[in-house]
This record gives sequence, structure tokens and C-alpha cells, in this order.
Amino acid sequence: MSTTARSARNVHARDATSSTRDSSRSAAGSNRRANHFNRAHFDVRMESKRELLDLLLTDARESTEDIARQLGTDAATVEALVDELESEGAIRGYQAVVDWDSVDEPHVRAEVELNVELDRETGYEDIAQRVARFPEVSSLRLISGSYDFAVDVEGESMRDVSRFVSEQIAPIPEVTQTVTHFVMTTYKERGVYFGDGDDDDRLAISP
Amino acid sequence: MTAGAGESDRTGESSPLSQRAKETPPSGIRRFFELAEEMDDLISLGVGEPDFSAPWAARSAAIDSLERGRTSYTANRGRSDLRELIGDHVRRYDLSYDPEAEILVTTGASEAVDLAMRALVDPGDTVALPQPSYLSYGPTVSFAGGEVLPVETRVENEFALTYEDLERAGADAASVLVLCYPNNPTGAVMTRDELAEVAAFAREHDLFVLSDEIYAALRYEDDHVSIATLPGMRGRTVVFNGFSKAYAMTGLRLGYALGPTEVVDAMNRIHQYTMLSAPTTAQFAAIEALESCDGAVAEMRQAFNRRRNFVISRFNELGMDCFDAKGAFYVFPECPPGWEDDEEFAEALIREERVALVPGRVFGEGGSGHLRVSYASGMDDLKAALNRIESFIASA
Repeated sequence: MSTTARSARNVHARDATSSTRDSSRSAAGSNRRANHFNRAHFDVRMESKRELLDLLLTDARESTEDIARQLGTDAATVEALVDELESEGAIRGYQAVVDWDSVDEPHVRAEVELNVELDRETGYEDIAQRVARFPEVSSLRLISGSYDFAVDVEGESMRDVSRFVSEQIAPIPEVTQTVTHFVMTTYKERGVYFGDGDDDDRLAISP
Repeated sequence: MTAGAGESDRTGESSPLSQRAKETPPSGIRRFFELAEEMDDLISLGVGEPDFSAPWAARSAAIDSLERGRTSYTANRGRSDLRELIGDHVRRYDLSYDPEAEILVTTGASEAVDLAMRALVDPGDTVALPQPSYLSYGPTVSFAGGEVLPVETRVENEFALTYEDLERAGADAASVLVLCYPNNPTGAVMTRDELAEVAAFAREHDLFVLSDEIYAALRYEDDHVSIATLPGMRGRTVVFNGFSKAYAMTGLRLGYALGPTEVVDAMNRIHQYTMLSAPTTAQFAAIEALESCDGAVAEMRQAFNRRRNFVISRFNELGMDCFDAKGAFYVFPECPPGWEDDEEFAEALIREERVALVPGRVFGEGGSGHLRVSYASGMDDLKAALNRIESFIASA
């Protein structure tokens, strides 16, 4: 899906450029600058939301002005696009990626496999709604394979988490089995690697 | 003082150095390099290589090759599987070369440039060199005994080379013309139509073209066009490319040349005595890069493009007129109002705000009054650097 969107954007970027380049060549200095913005503004209309999502996925705290500069548009346009993405439900929230090992407070996470049995009245959706509403559940996914739901559960201690699973999840009538895997160490979370990155040992100035 | 190591040994004697070595000037960026080296908390936008590391798959292939003990020489021309892959890869630019006879794998594109000069330039020959341009071309012409003819390109043409530029400089007298688009240091690119003018000049005056296309993958608004694809040009062009910029593999030192058999054969004859073969480990990394790293290149290009938009916007906001550079990872803004001398500006900026830029004039006369700004740095550094430049201009 994203591939199609990308190539469509590129085509537009190309068209936009070929039409502005000639005029910018013949124009005086100040017009070159204006052309940059005209072109960019046009691009953003076409590329807009997907590009913006990419940037927010990388750093949701980036200022609107800096996002606008990177997309070659103005802050008001970015604000409007963010509003749209939010009201469409494409953006559901903004969260920090936390390395709990560096936070001075107990925090335990478990990945719980859940097997369920459906009947005529009860579907996956019904079970999911019931499980998802617990604040201890941080993510819930229906998956393919040897079990049905993958549930992330967070708590202050292993006991907390075990008790939650055995007292709140296991007793749900449709749940036939739970398998709880406690997370020992997190190396990478939502694309963010927790180890040291690559060294930057480039020379300060190079040709 | 006792005679120890070093020059004191030879006091009073004439220098052992060749005339050629004596005449080779130190690099124009050296002074700034030394200034930058002594600074803490420096943000350098003077770096001519990506801030990314090579894609992990390529690094992993290099490690794997070492573990398997693949540490011997390869064929002079490079591994044949690598040349096959290069031949396939360059088809995306409509280039078609026979891996057996027309492709040479070199130790960086830099070696390929040097080999081509030595293969094509006789003492006294003239090589037309559009400027501003990368610093290494001139010296390689001199090493081959040739004379450099600077051809100034202009900001009003967004530093694309024109037929008039070539005429004005008297490039009809040259035997070789160097091209570098997308360009270091300006970020300029050339369209097919613009290249057609240059190709016409080359055909009319029988110039052989050396086209350094190392930044071909980093073109942001349209597709790269190689001059070798224009009518009548394939037989009079050698194309250079490599893995340094597109795949962020600068330190692995791997490039290649594409050209007519006669020239590539001659280059290989020199290469086999001076280099023997390009680094083997790097060749394994390059094979993997070509096989599986297109996605990583696309991601890097996208990141570069956002930074490009950001820095162009910021420079124009600061009154440093910055044309819409569409390739490589450089922009080439003018000094802010009140500053004419790029070197003075760059020096004051590094001393007072600890931001390193490279004065445009080190890349040739046409660069005077401009600054080369590399956006091969993370967004945080770019933002901080531009804020420092802003406060510098405000306080100056």
C-alpha cells in the first residue's frame, strides 16, 4: 500500500519540478526562493499525510515549525494535517518510548498468549473488548498461529502480573488457556534500539 | 643536537622530494580542519560523507566474509559476481556495460578518477574542470602531467554547466572534460536537456568526458541522467560511481568505472600494478549492498531530503540566499548580507559559534561568496547549527 502511495507522490514531485525549474532559471534571485516554496507547497498537498506520519513516527515532539520546514510547507498546513489525521483516527495518541531499566521504579511486563473458544453468541471482538478495557493490558492483538490473542500486560511486580492474569483474564468464560512470558530484557522497542548506536568518528571536515 | 629521525639528518642538503610532490598544494580545507580539530562542542556541517553507517546487511556480509577467511586478492577487475551485479544495477540509469570488459572495480571512485586521468591525459594535455568542484580532480590532472582549465559555473544557472560556460572558458582546446553531477560542493544537478548542450560541445570539439556520478542515488526531485546515455556519448565517456555515498560505505573504499573497452582496459593495466585489486572485504559488502539494500538507500535518501528542505528553508529565512539544490547532500548558500568574503565569514562563525562550514572558494573561484553546507548530520545538529548561525548573524 505504501509503495503505491510513494510512487504516486514521486510522479507529482517530478511534474512540479519540471514546471518550476525553467522559470526559476530565468528569474532573479528572490524568485528562486519563492519557487522553492511554491513547489514545496504543491508537493506537500500531494504527499502530505504519509510524510507527516513518517516524521511523527520518528519524533512526535518535533515542533510544528521544524516539521513544516522539513516538508517544505508552513506551520498552519502542518497543524491542519495533524488535526485531520487525529480526527480520522489515523493518529490515536503520542507516547514516549521508555526504557524501564533506566527508571528507578519497579516495572514488569509480560507477553501473554491467550487461547479462546468461540460460540454462536461470542466472537473475537466481544472477547477483545472485555480484555482490552483492563488498564493493566497495554496492547492486545488477534494473531495467526497456535494461539489467538497476544496480550501485553504491565504491572509493578511479577506477582501483580500473575495475579492479574489468573484473577481477571483466565476466568473469562471463553478463555481456555493462558501462557505468561515475563520479559527479561528489552533491547529494542517500537524501532528504538536501547543499546549504543554506531560511533560517529567522521573527520570534522572532509572534502 | 644529535642526528635523529627527521629533517635534521638532511640539513644543508637539497630536498629529496620530486618536483611534482613539491608542487602539490595542501588541501584547501586543511586550515579549517585544524581550526575545527581544536574546538569542543563543535557542530560540523563540513563533512563530506553520510552520517549513517553502512546498512547492517552489508556490514554483516563483510563480517561473514572475514569469518570464512575470504581475505585473498580478487581478480584485478574485481569479483566477477560483483561486476555482474554492477552491470545490472546501472541499468536503472539506462546504462549498459559488459561486466567482462567494460566495468572496473576500484578502491573508491577516487582511484577510478586517478586511473582515468593517467589513461587519457598526456603531459601538456588540457583537462576542462567545471568549478566549483570537488577538490581531488585538479591534483589528479597534475599527477598525469596535464593542465587544468577551470570552467566557471554560475549561481544564476544553479551551477549547472552550460555550453556558454564551456565556450567562455575556451574548453574547445581541452581533450578531457570532467563532470560531477549531482555536484559536490553545490548540490547542483543537471537535466537531460542541460546535459545535451554539454554533450554537443564535447562531440563538436572531440572532448572525452569523465563523469563522476557518485551522488547519482541522491537526487531528490527527479531521476538521475548520465551523460553517457546521450547520443554519441557512450564511446567518449567514462562514468564513475561507487558505494561511498549511496550506501554510506566511505571507509570501505569501493567504487567502479564504466566505459568503453579500450579505456577500461588501459585503466585496468595501471590498476593491476598500483592497486592489484580493490579491497576484498569491501567487495563482499558491496555484493550484499546491491542485492538487498535498496530499501536502506531509499530511507537514507528520504531522511536527506527532509534535512535538505529544512536547511534550505532556514538559510532563506536567515537572508542567506540558498538555491534549491536538488542532489548530493550539500547546499551552497550565499554569505548573509554584510558579509562578502566566505572565508572570513566561515572563520568568524567557527570561532564565535563553533559551527564549521566550508568556504565556497576552496572549491574554485566560482564558489567565492558561498558556503558549502553538508546536511549529512542528524536533525538535532542541523537545528542547533542553524540556531547558532542565526544568533551569529544577529549579533554581528
